[in-house]
Amino acid sequence: MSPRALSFELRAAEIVFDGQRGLGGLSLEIHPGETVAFVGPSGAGKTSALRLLNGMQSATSGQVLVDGQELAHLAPKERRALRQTIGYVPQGFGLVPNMRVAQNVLAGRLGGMGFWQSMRATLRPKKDELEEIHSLLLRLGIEEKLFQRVDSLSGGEQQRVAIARALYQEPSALLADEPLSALDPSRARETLELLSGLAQERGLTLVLSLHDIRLARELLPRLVGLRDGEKQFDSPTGEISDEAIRALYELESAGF
Amino acid sequence: MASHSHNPGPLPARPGPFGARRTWLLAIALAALWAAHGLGVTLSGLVPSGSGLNILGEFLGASLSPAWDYEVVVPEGTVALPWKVLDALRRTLIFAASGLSLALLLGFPLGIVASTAWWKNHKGARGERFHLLKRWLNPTLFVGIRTGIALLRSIHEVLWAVLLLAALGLNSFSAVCAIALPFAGTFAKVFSDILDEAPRDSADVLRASGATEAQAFLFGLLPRALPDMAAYAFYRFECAVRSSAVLGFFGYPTLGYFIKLAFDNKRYHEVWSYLWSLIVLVFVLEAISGALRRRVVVR
Amino acid sequence: MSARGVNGASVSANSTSAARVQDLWRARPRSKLLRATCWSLGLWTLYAWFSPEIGLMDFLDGRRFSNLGRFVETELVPFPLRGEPLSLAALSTWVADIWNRIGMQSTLATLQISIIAIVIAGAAALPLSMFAARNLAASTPFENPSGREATWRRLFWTAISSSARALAILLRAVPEFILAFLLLAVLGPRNAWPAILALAMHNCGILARLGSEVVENLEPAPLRAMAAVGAPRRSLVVFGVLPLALGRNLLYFFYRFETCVREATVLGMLGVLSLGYWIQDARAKQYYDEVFLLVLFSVGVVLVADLVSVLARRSIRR
Repeated sequence: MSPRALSFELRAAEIVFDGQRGLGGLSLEIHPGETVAFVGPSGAGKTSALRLLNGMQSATSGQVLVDGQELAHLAPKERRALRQTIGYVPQGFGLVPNMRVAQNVLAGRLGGMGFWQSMRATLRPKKDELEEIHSLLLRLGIEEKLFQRVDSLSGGEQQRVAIARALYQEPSALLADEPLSALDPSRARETLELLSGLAQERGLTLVLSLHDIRLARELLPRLVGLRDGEKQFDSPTGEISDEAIRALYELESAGF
Repeated sequence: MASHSHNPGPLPARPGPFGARRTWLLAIALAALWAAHGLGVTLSGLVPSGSGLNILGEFLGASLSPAWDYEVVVPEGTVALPWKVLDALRRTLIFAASGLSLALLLGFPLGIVASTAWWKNHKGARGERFHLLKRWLNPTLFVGIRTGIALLRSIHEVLWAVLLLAALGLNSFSAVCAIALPFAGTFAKVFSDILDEAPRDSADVLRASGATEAQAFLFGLLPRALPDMAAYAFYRFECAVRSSAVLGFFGYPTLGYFIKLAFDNKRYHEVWSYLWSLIVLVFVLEAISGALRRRVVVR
Repeated sequence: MSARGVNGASVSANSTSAARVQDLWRARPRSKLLRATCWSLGLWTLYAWFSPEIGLMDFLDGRRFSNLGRFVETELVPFPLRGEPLSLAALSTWVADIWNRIGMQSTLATLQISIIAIVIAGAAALPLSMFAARNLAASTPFENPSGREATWRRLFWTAISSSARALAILLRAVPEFILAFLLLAVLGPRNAWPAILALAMHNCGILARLGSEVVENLEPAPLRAMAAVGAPRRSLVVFGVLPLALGRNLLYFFYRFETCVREATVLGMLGVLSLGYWIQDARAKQYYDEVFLLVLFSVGVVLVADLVSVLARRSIRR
C-alpha cells in the first residue's frame, strides 16, 4: 500500500539536556520494512531515541539519516515533506479531546494541505474522506466511534484513534512511543499484535519504544536495549540471553 | 525486605515560616492598614445620617414589592411599566451583544498574536525566509501588541465612554465602542493566557506529521483552548450586560438611565423593577453557563 | 466482522460504508443546550446590529471619523500648547501642576479605596465560599451519602449551600457603579464608604463563587481520609480545606484586585474623591485635555496594580 518503506540510520547520535547526557553516541541501522523496539528501564532514553528519527528531537552531535538524507541538513520545507511520510503515535496520544474522532483522524493528513483546504477538511470533511476513515476504524475495531468526542472514549480506544490518525497519513514508517503503557496485559498483547500486523500488511518500517520486555521478547523480531542513554545490545530477539535482559533492568530490582 | 545499603541522603529542607503565601498575606494586611490610615476612613462613616436612614429603610422596604405600574401619574398613552422595563432590558442587551461581538472580533486575533505560543514558532529559524529580519522585528511587534492590549484594557469602559462621548457624541457608535475596546483588550489578554496554558501535545503531533507551524497552532493548539475561551466569552457577556446597564448613567437608553431617573425621583418600587430584571437575567445566564460547564467542558 | 451500533444493535459490516457513515453521523452525540445557546446568542447579536438602536449603516457613517479627528486635534491638545509650538517645558509644567493639585492625592485615594474594598471582599468571601461549596456544605462532607442519613438533614444542607450560592450571585448581579450610586444616597457624599462597600459587595460575590469552585475541585482523597476518621466539619475546614484552597483563592484575590483598582477610578465620578471625581469635574468644565491626562493617570495606577497582581500570582503559583 505505501510506496516504499523508510530506512533509518543513527551515527553516533548524542543528546545533551542542560549539560546532562540524555543519549550517548547511539549508532544503529533500521532497514526498510523492519520492526524494531527500543527497550529498557524508564529514563533510559527510549523516547529521545525515537524522537530523533522524525527530527522532533535534534541530536546535539552525530548524524540522523532518514531514507539516506541527513535530517539536520534539510530545509524546513523538505523536513516537513519527509515527516509527512512518518506516522507518530506519542505516549499521551496527542489527540484533541474536545473534537470528534473523525476530525482527529483527519488531522493526520493536514501536513501537505494548504490553509483553506485544512480548514475545509476539519470543519466539513468530505464523504469519501469520512468513508476512508471509517474503513480504517473498522480495521482497528472502533468504527462505531467515528463521530464520538474523543474525551468520551476509553484509554485503549483513544490509542486506536491515535494509531488511525498516523495510518491515515499513509506513512512509510510508523513510530510509536510506549504504546502499551496505558493498557492492561491482555489489551497490551492485542495492541502489539495489531501494530506489527499493520506494519506487515502495509509494509511499514515500525519503530517502538517499550518499557515492558516480556511481550517484546515474545512478539518482536529485533530489540535494542538502552540503559542510561547507552546501547546495551542490539540483536535479533532469539539471540538475546536472559542474562543480558537481567543486566538491562538490574538496578530496578536491587532492593528485592 | 529492602536492604539498608541505600543511603536516602538528607531530607529536603522544611519550607521556612515565610513562604510566599504567608508573605503575601502579611503584605495584604499591612497594605490594608496603610490604606485605612491614609484614606482616613472610620467606622462612623458607615452609619447613615438621619435622612440616609430614611432612604435606606424606604428603599430596602420596596425591594420585595417591585412596581408593576407607575408610582406617579403618567400621561395618557404611556406604555405599561412592565413593557418599559423589558424595553430597557432589550436595549441593554442590544448594546451588550453588539459591543461584545465587536470585542470578540478584535480580541480573538489580538489574543492569538499576543500569545507566546504563537511567536515561539515564528522565531525565524535558520533556513526560513527573512529569518534575520524576523529575529529582531518579531520581538518588537510582540512587545508593541502586548502594550497596546494593556492600554485598551486598563482604561475602564466608562472612561472610554466619557472620551468617546466627547469625541463622537451621544450615539450608538460611541456606546458600542466604549464596551468593545476595553473588552477586546481583556479578551486578548485572557485568550493569550489560555492559549499559553493549553496542552501542547496535539500541536506537537501535527508538527511531527509534517504540518506547518501555523497549522499546528490552528488545528492542534487552538482547538484545545477553545472550550475555555468560549466559557470565558460567555461569562464576559454577563459583564457586558452590566457595563451596558451602567452606560445608562451617561445618557444612553439602557437600564442605568431608568434606574437613576426613578431613584432621583424617589420611586423606589420602580427602581426595584429594573434591578430585579437585571438580577433575574444574571441568574438565568449563570444557570445556563453552569449547565453548559457540566455537559460540555472537557474533563 | 460485526460491530456494535451506537444504539446497541448489531450492525453487519457489509452494509455499505456510505450508509453506515451516514447512520453514525445522524446518531452523533450533540448537546441541545449548547446549540440552543449558540443559536440564540448569534441571532440576538445579529438582531442587535440591525436594530434601530444601532443601525449598522448609520453606525459606519464616515462623518464620525471626521468628528473624531477634530476632537483629537483641538480638544485633546493640552491647554498651554494650543496654537503654540510644541514646548516640552510648558507641557511638563502643565502635567506637574495637575499632578500636584489633584492627581497624586486622588491616585493614592483610588489605590487605597480598592485595597480596603478587596480585603473586605476577600475576608467575607472566604466563609461564604465554604457554605456555597456543595461537597463541603453537605450533610456528610466529602463522603458519599450513606443513605442512612435523615432526609431533613440533607435538605437542610442543600438549602444552606443553595442560599449561599444565590447570595453570591445576587451580590455580583448588580454592577458596582449602580451599587455605589444607591449607597451614596444613603451614606452621604464625600465619604469613601459607598465606593468601598460597592466594590466589596460585588467582588465578594465573584470571589465567593470562584472560591466555592476551588473547594469543589479540591483533590478529595486527603479530605475523605480526614472525614473517614471522624474529623468534625470545623476541623475539616481549618486543617483540610483552608490550607489546600488558600493558594488558588489568593490567585483569584490578586486577579480581582486589579479590576477593583480600575473600577475604583470610575466610582469617583459619583462623588467619591478618587480619580473619577476630578475626571467628572474636568468633564463638566469641558476641559478634555485634563480629562485625558487624568485618564492616563488611571492607566498608570491600573498598570501598577496589574504588575503587583502578576508578581503576586507568579510567586504564589511557584
